[in-house]
Amino acid sequence: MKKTFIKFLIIPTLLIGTLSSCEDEFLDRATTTQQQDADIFSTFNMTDQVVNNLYRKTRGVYTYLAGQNMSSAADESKDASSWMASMQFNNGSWSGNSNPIGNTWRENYVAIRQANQILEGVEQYNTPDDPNNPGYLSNRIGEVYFLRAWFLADLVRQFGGVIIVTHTIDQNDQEALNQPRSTYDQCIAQIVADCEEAYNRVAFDYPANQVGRVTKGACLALKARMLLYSASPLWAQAGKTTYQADISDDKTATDPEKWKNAADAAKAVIDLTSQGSLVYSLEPTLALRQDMFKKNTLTSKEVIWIRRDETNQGYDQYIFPFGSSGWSGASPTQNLVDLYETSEGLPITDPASGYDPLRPYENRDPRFYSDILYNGASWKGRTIETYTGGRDETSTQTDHTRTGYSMRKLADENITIGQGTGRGIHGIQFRLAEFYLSYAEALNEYSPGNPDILQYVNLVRERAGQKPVEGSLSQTDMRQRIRNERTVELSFENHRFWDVRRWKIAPETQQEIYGMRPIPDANTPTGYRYDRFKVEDRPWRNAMYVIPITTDETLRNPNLKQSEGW
Amino acid sequence: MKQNLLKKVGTIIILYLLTLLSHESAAQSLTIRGKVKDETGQVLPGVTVIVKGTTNGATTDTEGNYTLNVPNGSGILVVSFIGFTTKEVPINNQTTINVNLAPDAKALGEVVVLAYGQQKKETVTGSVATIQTKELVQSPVSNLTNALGGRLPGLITTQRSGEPGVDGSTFYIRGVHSLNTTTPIIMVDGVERSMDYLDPNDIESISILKDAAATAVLGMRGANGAVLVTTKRGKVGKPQVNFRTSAGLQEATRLPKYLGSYDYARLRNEALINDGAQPVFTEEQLEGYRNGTLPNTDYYKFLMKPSMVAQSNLNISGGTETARYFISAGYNFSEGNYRFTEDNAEGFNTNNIMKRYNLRANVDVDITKDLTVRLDLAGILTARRDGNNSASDIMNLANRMAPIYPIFNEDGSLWGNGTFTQNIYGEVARKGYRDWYNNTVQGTFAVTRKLDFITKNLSGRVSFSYDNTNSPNAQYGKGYAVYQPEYNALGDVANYRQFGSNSQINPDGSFGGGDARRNTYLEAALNWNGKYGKNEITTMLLGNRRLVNENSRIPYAYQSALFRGTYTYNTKYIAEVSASYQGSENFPKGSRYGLFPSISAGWIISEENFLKNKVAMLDFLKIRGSYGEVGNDRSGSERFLWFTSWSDAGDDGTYAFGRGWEQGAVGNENVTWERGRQVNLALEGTLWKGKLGFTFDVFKERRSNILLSRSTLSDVFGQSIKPQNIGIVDNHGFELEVTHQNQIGRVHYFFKPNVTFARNKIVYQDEVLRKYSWMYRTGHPVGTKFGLIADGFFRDADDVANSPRQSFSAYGPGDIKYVKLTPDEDYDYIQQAFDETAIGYSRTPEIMFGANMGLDYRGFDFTILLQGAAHADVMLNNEAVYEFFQEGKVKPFHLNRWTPETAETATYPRLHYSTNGNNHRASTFWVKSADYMRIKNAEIGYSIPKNLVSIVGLSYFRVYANGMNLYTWDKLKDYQVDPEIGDGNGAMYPIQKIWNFGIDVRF
Repeated sequence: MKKTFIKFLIIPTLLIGTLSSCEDEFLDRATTTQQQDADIFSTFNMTDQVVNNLYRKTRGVYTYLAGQNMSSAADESKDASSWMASMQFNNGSWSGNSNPIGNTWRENYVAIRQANQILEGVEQYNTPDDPNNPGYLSNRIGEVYFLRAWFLADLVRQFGGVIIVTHTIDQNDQEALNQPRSTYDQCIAQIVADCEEAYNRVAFDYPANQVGRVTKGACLALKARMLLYSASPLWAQAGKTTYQADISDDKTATDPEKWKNAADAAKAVIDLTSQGSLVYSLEPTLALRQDMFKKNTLTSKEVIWIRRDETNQGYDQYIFPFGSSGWSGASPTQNLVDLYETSEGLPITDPASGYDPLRPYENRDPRFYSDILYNGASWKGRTIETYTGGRDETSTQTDHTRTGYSMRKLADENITIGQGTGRGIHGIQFRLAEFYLSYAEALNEYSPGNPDILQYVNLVRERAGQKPVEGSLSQTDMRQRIRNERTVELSFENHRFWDVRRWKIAPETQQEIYGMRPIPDANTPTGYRYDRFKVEDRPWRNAMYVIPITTDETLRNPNLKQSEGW
Repeated sequence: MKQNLLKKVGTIIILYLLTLLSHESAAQSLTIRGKVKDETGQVLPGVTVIVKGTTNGATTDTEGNYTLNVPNGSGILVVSFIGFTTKEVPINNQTTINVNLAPDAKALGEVVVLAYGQQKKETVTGSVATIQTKELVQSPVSNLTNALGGRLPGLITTQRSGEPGVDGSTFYIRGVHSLNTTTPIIMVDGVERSMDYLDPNDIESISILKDAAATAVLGMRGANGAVLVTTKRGKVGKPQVNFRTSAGLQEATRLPKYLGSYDYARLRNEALINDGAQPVFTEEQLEGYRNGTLPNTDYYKFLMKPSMVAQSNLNISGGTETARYFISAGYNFSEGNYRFTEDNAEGFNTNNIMKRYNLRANVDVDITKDLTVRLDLAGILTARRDGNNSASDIMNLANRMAPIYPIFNEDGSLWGNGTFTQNIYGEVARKGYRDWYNNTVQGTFAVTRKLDFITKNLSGRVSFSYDNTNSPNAQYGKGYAVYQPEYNALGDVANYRQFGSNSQINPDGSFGGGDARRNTYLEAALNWNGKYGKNEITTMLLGNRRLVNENSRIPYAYQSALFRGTYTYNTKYIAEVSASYQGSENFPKGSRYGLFPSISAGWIISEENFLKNKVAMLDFLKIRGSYGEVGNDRSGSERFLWFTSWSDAGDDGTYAFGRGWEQGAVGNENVTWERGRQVNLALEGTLWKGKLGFTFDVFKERRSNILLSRSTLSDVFGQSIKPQNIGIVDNHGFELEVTHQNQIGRVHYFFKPNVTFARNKIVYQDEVLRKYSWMYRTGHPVGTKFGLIADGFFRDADDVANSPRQSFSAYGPGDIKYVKLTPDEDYDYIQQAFDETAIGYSRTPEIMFGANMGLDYRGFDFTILLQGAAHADVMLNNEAVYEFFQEGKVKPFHLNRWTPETAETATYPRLHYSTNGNNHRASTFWVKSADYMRIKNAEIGYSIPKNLVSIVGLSYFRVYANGMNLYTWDKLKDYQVDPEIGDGNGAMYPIQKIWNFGIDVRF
């Protein structure tokens, strides 16, 4: 009995023994699988590819609004389809739970962590320089500094003062994770500092296949743009002590020193010199200005920095009129059309301008014809027909222009939707004209009457073939003309949405959106009666000056206060 | 007359056969005669009577009589007949031996299949529910998972699609217990395998394991319960040939209905006016839609038709003392509901078609009296076809396209435009087709050796299983163009604008490697049982190892050692201990292995002297209870959670300067498995000689260490972190199953209702600090719906002015009014962030019930399965319920919208044409009860009397008609969706109602 019992025990013991002896090899399945930090930062090549990924995370300028043009969230245009993200801005249903632009709070912090990771990784692992191109590593580090500033600037533009993160945070570091927001001006200072660090490391320009890397010009440009924002009424005083915008109805907050910094920074972009000659210059003609958006983006001397391959032919379909198989996206509004002056160089509200409501599309600023498709415009060998029954009928039906116009500025007329392989579209993040106008704007605020103001505004107009602004205007009138010029020159380039906010003029400009419906009428000089109609009312409250932070994030971090009014 | 002739011929044949037999055994020394009857006294023809250990035997005639010559009077007669318990009768020199056979069902019920073994039902201390093949084959489904709903207490099933080939149900045993994967593991013949495409005719039984006592041996795979499928095996006896075939029709239980063009157009005008826009349809157009001169397209009517199902199975089983076999071949066919799928010159069919071929051989051979080998081989081939499109795409299109658009132009070309480049006819008939194959081979080889030489009743078993599944696919795509008519000034079509292009199938097609899955399983076990007086012990010691190679993934690997021991005293007191020590490749070295123990006990009260033979009605009464710990090692598809790694950001991850690399989620070095602590208590019994039986279980579980992403980690961190073991969910509930069967005269009937209730609660999930208590998800069941509380519609401008502001989009009289929960001093308006609260049950029902019942009389039989669910809500959105969703259309219930005139009776807010942020948001208005009860299954059959069928050499012949999902009582009729629909936009291929007719023949 005893003997059999022992036998009985031997077998299971052997069984378990066999299993446990080889347990480790059998279950070891994931020992040497994936790349770790050391694998990345010990070579220049891998580090370089991590930098590439950081570029990839920059949000494009034409597709900024969840793939569509940000202009439809402002009074520049209106999207045709109800599913497009701009509708949330238009009907006021945006909130902390839903930022139509996207989850940009998270996206930008993800990008910032990656930037910090590169800066720390390069130091920790003593990353070697590119053996074939000495100096590249330092250049890449500079690019990362700039990009870190870029992502912070994107946060600041939307939310005001945010949390500044300059190192990778540990997941258990509750203090770093639950910081309160820094003041707006602290954020600007951080952006400026990173831009300056980057400026010292990066090149003036790059070989053709590397165009799009951060240049010295880009560093100056980002700095200039953010200093202009910080000097504007929404932030001039508020930003010094708080992260909250000044959303009061008062529109006059100002600080001459901030304006001066902004003007100087813009002038630095304009005056940037390499080997004795200016780095940037305006495209000389209106036609070349148009080419800059289509085919000469990579070579234009006016372009300072771009988002490479932002989009493709699908974008043409998005903005093309219905009659050309397009979706009539970002159809310009009458509000915008009214801002194009007459060829007399005067606003249409000026009796001397010669504006004729019966012939609204005659004798306008040449940029009107290059940027906007209107009823009767010539396009792809035919005429645009936005009248009822026309090929590009104005209507609320799918893919029809809701305003009576279509956007021409970014559209490539040579494209036929559904045919050909299309084109790669590089989005222009900075171009020289912006800084001419920023310089004039800032100068007019602290040194009105300075001759540079008229000079730089008129340089932009002259290139477009528009008559110069003349005479001695008051500071207020000049401000109005500069703002008008900026809206027209930089239309659809993701400026207006932010400009009406920093100027605090949104309540006047953003609420009522108009369109123009041509009605065939033989008794009129053009054959059409032009019926100005309201497209929609857009809700406004002053809280909308800034975008609310994701509600979830304010719940995760008890020290993170929501933007005022949300 | 004809019958008489048949009878005569039959008798002659049988007599001739008997003559042959008697001729063979000329040297007889004894002739035995007798009659075989069933338990009710009815004679049984076709019964095999055989002398044990020989091939000498006979078959009973139409009167149940047999005659058999035996060499001497000391042998044993083995009397066997399908459906009855085999009986052995010693001859003892008798010459007349009458035998009464008892039905088999009871005998089968006495053994319960458990993980890695089986036990006598009366001594089982864990919670297990079982059904047999007879119930399974009543459901004419191509996917076995759809046959179980309502039949097994404790099992919660939901079927989300009826598309042939992708219509499987999801199982939850005892509901949802975790915030992670909660589907049970499925084992077929002891190996983890898919059961989806097994042939129901091959299945002996299906058990579900519900408590820790039953699943602890499954270790870190067991926490969600298990479904065990056992296939049939051969039994000693003459070959039994079974043939079963059926064919039927299937159609949608319910199809969405949309309003026609006239109503569409006038409601759209109304909606546009409500939005402050211009109406788009003129009076003439409205008139045209009303009188039918303008298009009025009913997409579902155009698209769907009833289609065919068919299935056949032939199986043969039998064997001798040394070798037993069960071999089977099956075929199953199911076609989709689309029309126009054969409209092409090339002659292919683009319909959704599912074809399944099953082959199986289960063979047991006794090589010596101590050594048995077993070989099971199964091949399951499925071929599924679709029209090179997904069902949800087509349903979306049918749900979206307005009735005012035609399908065809005047010239017969397909209509479309720049927005609608998809045409419903084009989608089903002009896109080519795809074939999806799934080829599975499953094999098990096992050797069992009796080890009595070591100690009595000890046996050892080693088995090896190998499964291989390849699912390649072939695509034969083509494209179609749509054409938009352009009219001239006279209103005639001037020309057509083309969108897209027509293309033909490339003869080489395009081939997708699909999935490749290889599963090897090795098991070694020792079983021992002993009986010492009143003490009975059984033990099992088992080691196993499993390796799963799935496509190119790093293999999944498990190994474990497990033990189960049962002690029974005096057949009254039972105690059981089981445990597994298991490791998984999914955890870091050093913390891979876990121990999962359970203890359980039972007390058969009916065996106690104070009850036994004293309470006449009581046959059996048992109390049992269990406690144990089980685990779950998977958190979604993410593996190796302790890693932080970098990866190539993929094909979209390039920038102009080259590829992009990025760091992935930050690893969790302390990762471990989910832990479930489960308690179960039950009472079961039978009364009145088996006429009434019941099982009542109550259970409680705490699932902890649930792997969850931390939700309190700020985005400022800038990276995801891998899940942490932080979640806790409690679950509790009960199951009750009652069985009643009886015979009144010649009517035999049964009634078997069951109900399951399971409610869970999130105890911890790292929820962010909420500003108000009503916002917390913690404390509610998993999947509880959250949203605003709707409070009717705004009556008028005053009502709007006097109510708190709603911050979603412009709103006015007739729009949905919400309840503000925040105090006025905090907020003066209603917002999504702080005013949302729990507003409805989770989509997975808390209550599931079923009642299988039936009766038979003189060869007629009828069964019906009612099945239902309660405490479940569905939140529909988009095309399913919103008006004009993204240029979509309207349903009949939108007619009852709010207008100033109908303000009092309206059941729907005023209409809007564009997205309405105020009305179209999660709120109680869109939460609908998904409670339902349906006739899941019904079958009526007639078995031709045995004495008739035996004339033509058959032992059984039955004709039957059955159906699935025949009628449903529910609360979603207004929305024309099936109550098993998922939350969301309703783009699901409809659940099918099936009518089926078949025969069942045995030789």
